[in-house]
Amino acid sequence: MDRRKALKNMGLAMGYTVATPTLISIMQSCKGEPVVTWTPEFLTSSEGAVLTKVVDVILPKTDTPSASELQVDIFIDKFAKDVLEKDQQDFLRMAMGKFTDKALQDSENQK
Amino acid sequence: MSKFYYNEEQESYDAIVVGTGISGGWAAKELCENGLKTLILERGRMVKHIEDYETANKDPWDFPNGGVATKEIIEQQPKQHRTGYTTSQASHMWFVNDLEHPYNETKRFDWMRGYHVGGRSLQWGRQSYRWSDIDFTANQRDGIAVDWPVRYKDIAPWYSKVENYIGVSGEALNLPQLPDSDFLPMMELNCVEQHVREKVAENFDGRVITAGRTAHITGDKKFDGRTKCQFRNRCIRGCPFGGYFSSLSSTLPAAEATGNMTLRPDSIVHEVMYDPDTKRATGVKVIDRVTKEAHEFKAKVIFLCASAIASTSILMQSKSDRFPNGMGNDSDQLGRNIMNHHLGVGASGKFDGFEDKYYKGRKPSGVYIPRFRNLGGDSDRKDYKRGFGYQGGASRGNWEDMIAEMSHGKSLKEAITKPGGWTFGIGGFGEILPYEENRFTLDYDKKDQWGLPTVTFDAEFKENEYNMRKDMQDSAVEMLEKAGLRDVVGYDNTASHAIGLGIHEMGTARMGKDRKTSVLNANNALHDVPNVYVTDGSFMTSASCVNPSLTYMAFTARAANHAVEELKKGNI
Repeated sequence: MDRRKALKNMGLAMGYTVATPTLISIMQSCKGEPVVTWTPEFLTSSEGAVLTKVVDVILPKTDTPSASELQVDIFIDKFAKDVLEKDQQDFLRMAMGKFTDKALQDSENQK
Repeated sequence: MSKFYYNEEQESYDAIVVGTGISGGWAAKELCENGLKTLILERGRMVKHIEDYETANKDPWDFPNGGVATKEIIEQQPKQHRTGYTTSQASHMWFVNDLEHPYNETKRFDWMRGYHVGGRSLQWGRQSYRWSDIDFTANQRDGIAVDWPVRYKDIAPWYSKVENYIGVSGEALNLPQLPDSDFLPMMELNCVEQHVREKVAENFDGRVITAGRTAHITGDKKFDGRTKCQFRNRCIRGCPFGGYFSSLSSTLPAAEATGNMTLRPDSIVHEVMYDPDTKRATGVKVIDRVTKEAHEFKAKVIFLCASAIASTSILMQSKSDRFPNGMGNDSDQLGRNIMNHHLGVGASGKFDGFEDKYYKGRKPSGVYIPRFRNLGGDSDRKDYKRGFGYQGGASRGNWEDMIAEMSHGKSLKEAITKPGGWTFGIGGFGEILPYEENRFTLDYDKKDQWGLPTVTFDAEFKENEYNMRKDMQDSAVEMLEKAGLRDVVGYDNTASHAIGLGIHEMGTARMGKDRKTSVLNANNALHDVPNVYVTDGSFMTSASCVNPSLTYMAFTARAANHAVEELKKGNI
């Protein structure tokens, strides 16, 4: 499935498309760790922490570095601030919020 | 620090050249090599070959935000950003700040400008094609505008002179509509380009796919101060190897080497001065870009090579009792017949096969499909005049293909380190007809920070261009499908329905045989002021469909040598 479409669906019709163990593990893995090791310029601190986990789900550490080891999370946050248009920024904020809520909710349901 | 480079200021000069781009560089070289003490005036900042190409050796990760145009850049360069590529962090410094250099659009006009020594020769597309007599006789044949006062035989030796000096790589084909240049070895086609070439030749009578003819050094011929193209494809940043032709790498150093060139950057020429007694131009008026001080420089002959719109603007501002509507404008043709090439229309498709093949380096050019319409017989169209060519190429996809895939983890990492599938695409470059009502004027109510009037564009496509675009898309789809590509998609970008994105402004001071209907004579001099030559895109009487820079260079070299002869004879 198209990732862009999926993200859009997530934003617009949250709750019906994505609910995978991976997402749940993002939230669970957050527990007990520092919330964030860098200061986002665009996202909130907690969104930044989620982003760090998400990029490593997409590109994990294997015999090559993980996305966060290459600071892809920091890149995305800076890109959002310096390059994205207002409507794109709003969409990103909205999607990050919904995504986090959904993942938290699924995580709760697992217990 | 002196504003004058290479020589001290003189009281007067043999020649003044306005502009340092494709045309200005050639005027400088030819005039200086013929012994004329020449002052070169450039409105923009000084640029030194190699040392000022600040981004030339940067990799994508050396730029913040991956090198894309940031909001901060776009705020300064909103019109230059319309191309979608010029304002990247690697190249935006070679395009003007639109806030400092405003212009007006009665109808949208995309005016991409580079104000610096070297002009747009620094960031040009480097595609180099000769015109044929099919182009030079087009207006006469169609009964459109006025006839060119020049034919192919007049300009062919000058094409050769230019090509042998700048280096043009390409393949000789002996086509009547696209005469061969004096070529350096062609850039090789990759396997899919070669495959499509063979299929198109099988399926379409007389249609050819060849390597783009580009002003890059290939092969073993030696060029002063320049080395072979390194296949880095970072040309738009300035090339530290001098792998492609620019006036900075080639013609300006040649002019400098004579000892006859004086260069003054930051010099905005706004008027050519006229002496009614001698009926000759005497020099130019300049405003210093930085200090805003006024200066005058005198010379026996003036070459305007400031780019089509700018040179014509200077003539429009050069008002006198003799020329109340602008110098050389008795015909009222100044500013009219704006042309360009229309593009942003074509097709692309995917290719299955050659999975084990790749290509070496980053070829800074692709394929070219010469014009195949309105050349007689079956090729003639009832719905439009003239024709178009295509530029394009084949490449393999990269990690970006995976952005659209809903995958993650180890398997995604493996996928993005492998080359993607092959795609092949072509985009058309179409001729725009000269229409008198497609024009620009000067607005004296809206002045820039130097107190000079701003340019207002009022030009648009008409039926001929729109009808041609339909065929440009349909023919592209048809060719790609018959060549065996799958998922062929045609496109016609509506953003390209305004004039300008070809960045080939032409017309506005056209050549012609008759002073009543044209501005310039067959030697690029004003009909009525024989010591003023205009040799940038403004002299173009029609547009052809091929990239124009090679033609500007050939006409400039010819005009400069004409001026030298006229000076020797005492005619000017």
